[in-house]
Amino acid sequence: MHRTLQSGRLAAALLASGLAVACSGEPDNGQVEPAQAPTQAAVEIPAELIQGTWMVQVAKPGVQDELMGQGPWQQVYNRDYAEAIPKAQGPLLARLHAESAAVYRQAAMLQAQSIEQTFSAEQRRESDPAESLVVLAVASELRGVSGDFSTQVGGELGSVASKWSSPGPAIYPLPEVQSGSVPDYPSAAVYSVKEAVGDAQMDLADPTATLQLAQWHAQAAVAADPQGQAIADALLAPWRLPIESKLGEFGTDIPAELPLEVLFLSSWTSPGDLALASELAAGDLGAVDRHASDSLVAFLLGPCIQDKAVDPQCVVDAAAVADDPLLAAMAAAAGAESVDHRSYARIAQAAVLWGGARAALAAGDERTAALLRINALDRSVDAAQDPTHLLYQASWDASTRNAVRAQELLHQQTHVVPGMDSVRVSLDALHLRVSRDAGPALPMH
Amino acid sequence: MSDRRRLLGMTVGLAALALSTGASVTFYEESLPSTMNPLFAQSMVDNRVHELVFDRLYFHDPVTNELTSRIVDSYELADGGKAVTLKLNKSVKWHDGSSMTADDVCFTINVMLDPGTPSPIAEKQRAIFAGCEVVSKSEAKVQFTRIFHNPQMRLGFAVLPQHVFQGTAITPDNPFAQQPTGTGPLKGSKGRRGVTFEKVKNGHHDARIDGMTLQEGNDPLVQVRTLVSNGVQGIVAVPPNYRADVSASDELTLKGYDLRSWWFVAVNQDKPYLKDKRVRQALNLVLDRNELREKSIGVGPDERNSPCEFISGPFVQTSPYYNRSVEVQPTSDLDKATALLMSAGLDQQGGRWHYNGQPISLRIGIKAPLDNEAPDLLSQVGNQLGEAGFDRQEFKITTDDWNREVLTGKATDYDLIVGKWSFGLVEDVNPLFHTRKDGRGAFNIFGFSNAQVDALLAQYDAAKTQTQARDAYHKLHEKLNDELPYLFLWKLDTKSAWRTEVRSNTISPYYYWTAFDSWKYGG
Repeated sequence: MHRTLQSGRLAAALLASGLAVACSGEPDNGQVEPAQAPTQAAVEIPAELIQGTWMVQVAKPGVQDELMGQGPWQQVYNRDYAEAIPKAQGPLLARLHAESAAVYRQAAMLQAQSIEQTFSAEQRRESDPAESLVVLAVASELRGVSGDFSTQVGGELGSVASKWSSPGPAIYPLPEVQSGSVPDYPSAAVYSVKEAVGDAQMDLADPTATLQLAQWHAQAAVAADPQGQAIADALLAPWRLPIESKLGEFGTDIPAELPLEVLFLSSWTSPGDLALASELAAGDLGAVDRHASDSLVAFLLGPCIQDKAVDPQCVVDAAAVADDPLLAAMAAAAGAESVDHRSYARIAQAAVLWGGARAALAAGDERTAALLRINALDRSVDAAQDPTHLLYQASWDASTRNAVRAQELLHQQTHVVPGMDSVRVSLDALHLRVSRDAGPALPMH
Repeated sequence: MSDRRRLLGMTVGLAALALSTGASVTFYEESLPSTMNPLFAQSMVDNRVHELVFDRLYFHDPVTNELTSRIVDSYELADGGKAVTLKLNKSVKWHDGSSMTADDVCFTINVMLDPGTPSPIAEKQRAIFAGCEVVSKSEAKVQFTRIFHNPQMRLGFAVLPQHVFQGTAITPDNPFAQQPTGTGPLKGSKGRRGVTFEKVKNGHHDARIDGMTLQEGNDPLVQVRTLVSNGVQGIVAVPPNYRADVSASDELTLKGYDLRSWWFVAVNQDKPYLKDKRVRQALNLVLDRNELREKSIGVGPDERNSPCEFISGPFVQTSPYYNRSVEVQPTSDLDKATALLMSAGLDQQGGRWHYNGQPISLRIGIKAPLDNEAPDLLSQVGNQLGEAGFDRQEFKITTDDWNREVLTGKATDYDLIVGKWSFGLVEDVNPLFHTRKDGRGAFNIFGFSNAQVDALLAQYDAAKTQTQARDAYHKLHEKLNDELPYLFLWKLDTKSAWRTEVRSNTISPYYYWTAFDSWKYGG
């Protein structure tokens, strides 16, 4: 039984509107005392912000039923892009390709961080094959650092090194871009090479292929619909990779409006959330203030940011109570409560926490960002499991050598798009390295 | 924005008052800890409790994963990388008020190096540590047996107080195991019905919760109801069947707990009718894991990202040691099982399986707390074996009996035992499958012994590269799936439930309480 998109609606009393955002003012950093006194606030969310969310829009009579009749929404709900794409069309098809591109981007970054943490000069072992320097150079490029492709290695990976030195990383043949289709992961991107000590064969996966798939799907998104370019720009803007400034891909303009099928079931409650995420990803904390009138997430984060610092407990509290006005508004729009509404509200809760993490990063506070991402993971169940966000977290985990959680997160996404098993090769190598460095431990019952 | 910020200041006092109470918190654990001495930890309950009472020399920050320490101020490599000199935090005191010094660090290492300390983890540490030298009261030089990459990662052990022991040979029955002295955020005392913890303010700890009480959880329904009624404030492990109820409540929060646990049915090969591996293979085919999982855990066969995922060997599927070419056995195949049993010389009379003319009656045990986590699993396993033609008797094994009989290889009366093993970053399964001899195979439940398996385990131990280690365990996985000392069942995620009044409650992977200082109650 897959996760099931509920459609039943329960008759119940309407909930009161309005939101009390409780802010403790205390950083939940595990060690440090609060820098300021706890605070609490009661805040009314402007009705237009609530009404502008896809959650409330689909709650209106007939809207969700009409949507459900037009696309492979069960597959979208399951985030099974490979199954959904061939059955979709129009803006939804553009969205699914763009989201696939975002997934592959984060997967490529996950590979890059894993490779960096395994084969960089600090972590290298004498047994590591010379070919690992090629994937290390590719990983550097993906991370926005010039890669060193000077190591002379033979075989196919030697060819990869020479091709990366010319513009564009199109190294592995992919089918011509065709919207509605899903290319396989090129198996040639996984190499088996002999270790420098002993006879064991180490697997190396070249993240170039993952990046190529991200580019392929981005182009398919553009071709999928007349609005494809705008949809791709909007959905990919928060997920730019450092290398993309070199590749010159995609604009950053986020339309004020997007078709409902582009947002329904997504982590973006409105186009304003996308603009907020995009600008925060570029390190612009001022985006929270600027988008307070068009992004529910920005509005809720606003009181949690003072003196360019994000109060994590305030964000957690804001997320916890965010669903009340949403549930009330959805019930009011639908004329009754529905089991779907609670699922949708949970997506909004997770969105606030992911947004808070982005804001903390923009504020230069990686610890608070990490803490909010952990809270976001706790909320990311059922419909709120967004593969791009989860791989984003896995990528962070790889960068901090937390291979165990990264593995769990990646494993949950193996069904989403083709090739995730190959992505796992890079993370496996990091996992092995970290676990063999650890002190002894016994099985526990 | 400014209006909202003005509103923020209006109720400052109220929230501050509510958050400053520091009251006591009660929570349910799977069982009581078997020991409060970290050298003799056998269960995850033990490990978790020790994290509250002791400090490990180094630990991973649960938020950033940074390797850090509360009791080491700085370190530097020495002896060409074969040693590290640790400069200790001088403000750290034991719960009895004595200062923690370099003597304690070196004492702990000497305890582990003393062959008179019968601790399985100390046995492993003897391959890591060569000795320890007290340089000064606040400086210890830890010597390794060889140069290690990232040597601080080898320093994850809990420090013990020299002044409460008579010598470096420490046994499990030392009174310290009931009334320990640590440097952790809480002082713990184990009673017959629970463990009570009391806050100890220290130079490196200042918990915001004054006290804790650990109670043994039994019926999960009772646990959840007690949590809802605020009779307790947390449950460390909520069975999957009850997680939806927790999620639906505005007063409760479901929290992820990163722990890699897998479940098994161990098979006693000393029983003559189980010695032939074809019989064990047949039992593996008798089990319908889909049905077991659905009836005991409530997870359907096609559920994606389910908390429960089948395994075909002694690793979770996310592990790099898991051999993905070895397929899981989700459903039963009774025809094939029957053919295997007959080829092994068993025969069916009146629908019941016989060996040498005698009916086979299988004694099946389960560690009692597991029958809470996967309700009715024991009966379901029994039912499937019964339907396949095996008489059986079912038993729940207390945690005490598990420690005393099962772990020590003395539970030979049983034919099958259902259990669970949990792992953190390290997945060393050698103690489970190596022949019991010379301190190896410390947790080999039924004395399984196979020369090829021992050779693969030795290959893993001797591996010079990570790929060699992976290859050894991949082959081990394949071999164990053929020999079947265990019928491998599944990995099962662990989730905790806490009342929303418990805040800032970051749960650390594996150790759970590493960030306890930040936990607070109220507000």
